[in-house]
Amino acid sequence: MRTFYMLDFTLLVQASINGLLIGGVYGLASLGLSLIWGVMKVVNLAHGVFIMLGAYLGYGMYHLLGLHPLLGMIIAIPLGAGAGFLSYRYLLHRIMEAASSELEMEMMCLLFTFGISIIIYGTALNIWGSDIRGIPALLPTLFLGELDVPSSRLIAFASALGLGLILLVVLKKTFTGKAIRAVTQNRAYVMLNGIDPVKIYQIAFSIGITYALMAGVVISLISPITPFMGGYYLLKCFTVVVLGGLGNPLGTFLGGLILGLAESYTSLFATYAISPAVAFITLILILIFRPGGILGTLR
Amino acid sequence: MSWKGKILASLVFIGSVLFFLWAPHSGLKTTTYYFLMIKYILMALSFNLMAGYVGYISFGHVAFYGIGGYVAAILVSKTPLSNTAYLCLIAGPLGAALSGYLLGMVLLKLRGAYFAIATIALNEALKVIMFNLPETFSGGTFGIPMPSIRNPAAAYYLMLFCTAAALILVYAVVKSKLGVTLRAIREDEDGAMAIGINAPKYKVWAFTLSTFLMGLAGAIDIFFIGYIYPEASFNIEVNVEVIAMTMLGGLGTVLGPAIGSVALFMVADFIWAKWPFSHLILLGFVLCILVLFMRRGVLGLVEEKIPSLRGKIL
Repeated sequence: MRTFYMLDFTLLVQASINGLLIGGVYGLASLGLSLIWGVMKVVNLAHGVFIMLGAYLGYGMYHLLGLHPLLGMIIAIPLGAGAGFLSYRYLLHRIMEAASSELEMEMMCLLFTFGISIIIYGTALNIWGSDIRGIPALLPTLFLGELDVPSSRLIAFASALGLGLILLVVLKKTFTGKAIRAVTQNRAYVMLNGIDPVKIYQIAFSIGITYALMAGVVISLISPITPFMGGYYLLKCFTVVVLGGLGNPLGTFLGGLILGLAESYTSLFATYAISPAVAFITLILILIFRPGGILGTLR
Repeated sequence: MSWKGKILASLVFIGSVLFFLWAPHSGLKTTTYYFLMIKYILMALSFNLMAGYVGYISFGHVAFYGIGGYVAAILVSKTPLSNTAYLCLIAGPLGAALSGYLLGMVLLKLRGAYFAIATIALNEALKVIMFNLPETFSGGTFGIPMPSIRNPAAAYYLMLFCTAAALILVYAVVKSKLGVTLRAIREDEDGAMAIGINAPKYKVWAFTLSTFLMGLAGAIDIFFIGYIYPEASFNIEVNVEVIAMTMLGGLGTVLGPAIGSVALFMVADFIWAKWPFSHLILLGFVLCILVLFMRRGVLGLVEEKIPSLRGKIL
């Protein structure tokens, strides 16, 4: 336990900055999960391992090719789109069509994505082992008066904000984005308007996987990289999504900021070690008392 | 089931119990092998009771295995009860069942994916909490070594007895009116409520029984190993194995979890011994293929292919 005199104003501001910067990244990491869950009612338990793969992409970009980690996006986008398209088209679509009820579909998709995540996790453990890797700080830390802002976190936050805005614009302004939101609301009317919901699901699933990979590339800047990080981020993303509501990018981003601040304040007022438990307990409490999320769902 | 079937089933049951009584004849290595196999059967039975009969897939069921183990371990090592170890052994599953009852009242309000996520979060939260509790209480990261209570042979036979008893218990529950009620809840929870079934009550009791069995596995395990630590007790990989085993045998059958556990344990153990961590890839593939092509498992496939057996498989 920290003593009271340490809780001066500077420390509080520093904790808020840390919380917001990491919270933005949590928001980005959750966008894909939130989109797939909201649009397709599929809970993608493989979301975490795609974040992990993205982080290894950023790591490989830096250590193997000597380029900036964020250039991993160049590989992440086609890889994510391709993997999402193929896995939906040939596997997930089959499972969703074969289910007799919505509950059965939900369960079978949970088990299937769980299986996929174990395959990828096991393969990653075999290839890379359980060593902790990381990318060193590429730019020096910024000092603003008494506050210090690690520039890699600032870059990660800025990328998260940018990618989040792109998704928001795509969903609100383009025809495909409008169709995605329409499928969420009423599948039958969308079909009446001549839009094939299966195609929309394909697109939404590909976007979701791509965002998981891109989030991983961003996360590689600020976080230690191990095969275990997938499970860790998966649970954080769940917390963020149930905080912010399904399929709503703005809500998801805000949920990320709330979780980031909550963790940061927990490590300030209690201990650092207990802060992961805070996320999980928050998750259980919100699921029980506000299952629709604090900010409501996609509209 | 016809009387021929009953006799056949009892013969197979008695035969396999006799086999497992004979199995650990050549030292600790075989004892460990068959102990783990039986432990997975017990855990799969427990998981199947919720997932197969009530339709609630718990991705963090291993949490109650951890609770059962920790309750027993803390009582054994930190209280004067240590010279009456069997009391601690009973307290473990009772603690797990009590926490299952209390948590079930809250968690079972959630359905489908929300329940699954809440159970994952529960398991991870408990793991972090066990890591951070004071070392004098729960041993912290390093866990609690208990060399004095370690007794592999006794633990093996106890686990065998408990698993056989659990198998009979699950059979009795499934064949009773309670089993029919639970299946009605699985098929259509709102419909079951509409015809006057108090679904929340039955769900909580099924969860309590399921967590009791899970806690039993955890408590007996510490007497086999003589050691407990959070990473092993709240290990989600164990849950992965249990889910894959149950799915392989057949979700919602009595014998399915037992068949799936034995088969997948042998294969996974073989692969794990040759290429560590590759057994996870195998488990993932098994899970995906089962969901894609055989969602009712081996027993479901047998039932489909041999029409004369329809409705007669346990």
